[in-house]
Amino acid sequence: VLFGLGACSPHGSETPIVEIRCDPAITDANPDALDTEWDKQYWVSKAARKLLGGADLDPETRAAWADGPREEIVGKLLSDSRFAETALDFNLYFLGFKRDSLRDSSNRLAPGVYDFPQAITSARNVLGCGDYLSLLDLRQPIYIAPPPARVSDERKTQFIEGLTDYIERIESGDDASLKELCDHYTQSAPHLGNLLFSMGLPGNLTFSTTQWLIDLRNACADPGSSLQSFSAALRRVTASFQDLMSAIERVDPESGSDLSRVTPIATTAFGDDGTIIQFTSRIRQALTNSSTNYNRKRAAYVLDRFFCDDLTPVNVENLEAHRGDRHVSDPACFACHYRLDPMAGFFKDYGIAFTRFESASSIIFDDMAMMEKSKYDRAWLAPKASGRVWDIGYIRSLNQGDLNTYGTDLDDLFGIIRSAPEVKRCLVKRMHQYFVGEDQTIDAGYLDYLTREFDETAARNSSQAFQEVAARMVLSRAFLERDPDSGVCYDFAPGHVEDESPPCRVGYLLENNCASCHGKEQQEGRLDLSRWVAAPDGRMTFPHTDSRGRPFSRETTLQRISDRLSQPDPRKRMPLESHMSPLERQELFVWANQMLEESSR
Amino acid sequence: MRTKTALLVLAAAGGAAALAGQTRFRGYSEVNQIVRERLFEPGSSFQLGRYLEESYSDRDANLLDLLGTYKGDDLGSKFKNGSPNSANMLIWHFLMASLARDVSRQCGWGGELDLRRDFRKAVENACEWPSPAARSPEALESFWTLVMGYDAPRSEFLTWKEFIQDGEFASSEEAVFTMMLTITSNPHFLLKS
Repeated sequence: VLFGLGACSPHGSETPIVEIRCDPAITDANPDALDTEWDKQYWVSKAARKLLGGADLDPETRAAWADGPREEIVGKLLSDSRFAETALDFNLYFLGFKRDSLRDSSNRLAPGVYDFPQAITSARNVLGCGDYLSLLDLRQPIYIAPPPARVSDERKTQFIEGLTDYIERIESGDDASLKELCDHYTQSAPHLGNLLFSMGLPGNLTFSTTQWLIDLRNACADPGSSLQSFSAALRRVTASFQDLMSAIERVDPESGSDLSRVTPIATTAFGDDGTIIQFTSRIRQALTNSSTNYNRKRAAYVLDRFFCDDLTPVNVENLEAHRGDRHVSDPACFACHYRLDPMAGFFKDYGIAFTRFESASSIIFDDMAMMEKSKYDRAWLAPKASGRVWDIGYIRSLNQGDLNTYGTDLDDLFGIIRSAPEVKRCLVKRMHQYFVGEDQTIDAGYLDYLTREFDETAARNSSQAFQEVAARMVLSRAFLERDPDSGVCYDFAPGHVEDESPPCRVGYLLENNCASCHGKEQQEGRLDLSRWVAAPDGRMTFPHTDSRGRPFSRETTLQRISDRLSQPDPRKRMPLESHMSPLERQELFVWANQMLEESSR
Repeated sequence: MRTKTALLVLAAAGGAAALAGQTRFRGYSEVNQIVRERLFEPGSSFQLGRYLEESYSDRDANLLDLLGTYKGDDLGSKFKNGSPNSANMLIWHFLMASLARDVSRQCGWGGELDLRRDFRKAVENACEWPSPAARSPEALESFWTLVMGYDAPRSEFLTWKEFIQDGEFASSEEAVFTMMLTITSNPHFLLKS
């Protein structure tokens, strides 16, 4: 029987107990590890903390459960509604904004949590067996911390009056021109902005509401605008403001004590397209752009958090073919920029605080600098021969364009994020870091195995997939260890044979990318990358000899591996004439260099 | 006895230092939660930071951040200040010694801590030191597991039990103080597992 939950039952339903079946990867997991009452209770306590949002079981429950089968215990923990807090905490970790605690001193969700609506939606969906992967959706509802800030009637009136004055002048046939009204509005806009900031709205709302003023400014700046369109924009903002105030008053003041009671607020009140995007207040403050960074900070964030690509500079191949590209004069820079710049293009319409400048004539950045929008956009124009308008996308290979996924805007980017296999693998990798240990090495084959299992279940129900992987993590050998060695892999995919396998961190990558030429059957260059054996000096290395059969030193072998991985010349770059994912190349390159560094100590 | 306590605490700190390359403190928030869960009545608002006249703050920086935190402007969920060093060991020692002192005061006039019933009972029993009931392996195991849980291997408990049973304390208050401080300074209590 394959590992899996019996079914995903919504928490609070009549069948809340989650049934965990056997995992072929872990059925023989460390059978002696839990042979004492002491060790059993240790594992139950550790598993509970991981699956109950940081809380332990009370001593009586823990003792009562300790003798049961581990799968059954995990099933009970997953059935607890507090598992949604684990999901929320992990989601924040995945997004790069993990907190010390989800709750404040009064045991309510801390206000900062509301800055991440995608994390909340996803965790709430886990409670109801809904779509856990809404974590990867661009468009989001909005949540606010209770009790909502009480906005004084005086401030509300001041804001409404500030807008209705213009509407009345336009409707009464005032002969003021649009320019006169807009000039006047521009002067009073800071006052309206200050009013919004002084209303005491939660931080995530304040940033969103300022979008209204930008919409009005755009209505003035648009050359095609008229008195009527300006009036219509004013009416939209007035209605949105009133809707929002009503929504705030309806929020359950006790909702902060329970994730299931946190309710979304309709977002028709914000922005020109009526929805909030992932990049809400906290992220807006962290991911600033400028007239010189061309959204690279935002791109680096997406590559790191969603694709687990930390942009390790490994030289790229065939530089000559990219002579016209920026940064190509310095291969070390180009090694990152070829992935970074096309990713940054997805953000080209977003300026200061993620405000959209899509149809504006100029764009303002977080450093308050301004640039002509068309000039700014030219940074991402694709060469005519490419057949594309924009050089915007997720780049996997410079030479094999068909491996890349191109797009134009954030909707495209999040379409890629939802479907790219690298993102699912990254999610599972982050789960391993979160549940087992940040520095704990994971066998690449085991990671791929978990990712495949996650994908397969997620095709039916992504909440179930998340729960299953979480269960696998706390049932794993690595989790069982009291003091695991961070450099050792404890878990492997079914069928794995230890033998003389290379170190687990890279063994699977070598097998997939290198072993057909440097393996047991064939040893091109007299190098066998399928075995990791003791050299005459006792240190571990790959079997590698010169033409006379004399073994190379470990340093020489590792240095050659590093050089061939980062070689720009396609005739020498390994693997020859075949594609290797940049992420796998990075991992192998970094490992080889770490080994070299250790050897030199 | 103070010298022996200091030696055991130093041994614990030495263990932490040996693990420093691989492991890190749990951080103030997690340790505070554990202390509250294990020692205090449900719903207690106890905070270890009170001994430094500091309160954990989501936004502002203070001394408690030196004990390990996810706070900060860096992106990437990075845990900061988690590696054991002389400064944060000093702060941990100050916090845990202050907590141990407050718990040991239960032996006298009672003190003001809203301790859990089971832990209060274990402390009251320890306050009978050096009576055989207070020194019994069962009583010491109960005290240990209430504070440490099962985070440490049993061998750690056995070493601690021997140390406490051999102890010649000037008063029951000193016995409880030493029991508390030596458990809460243990790397298995303070470090991430």
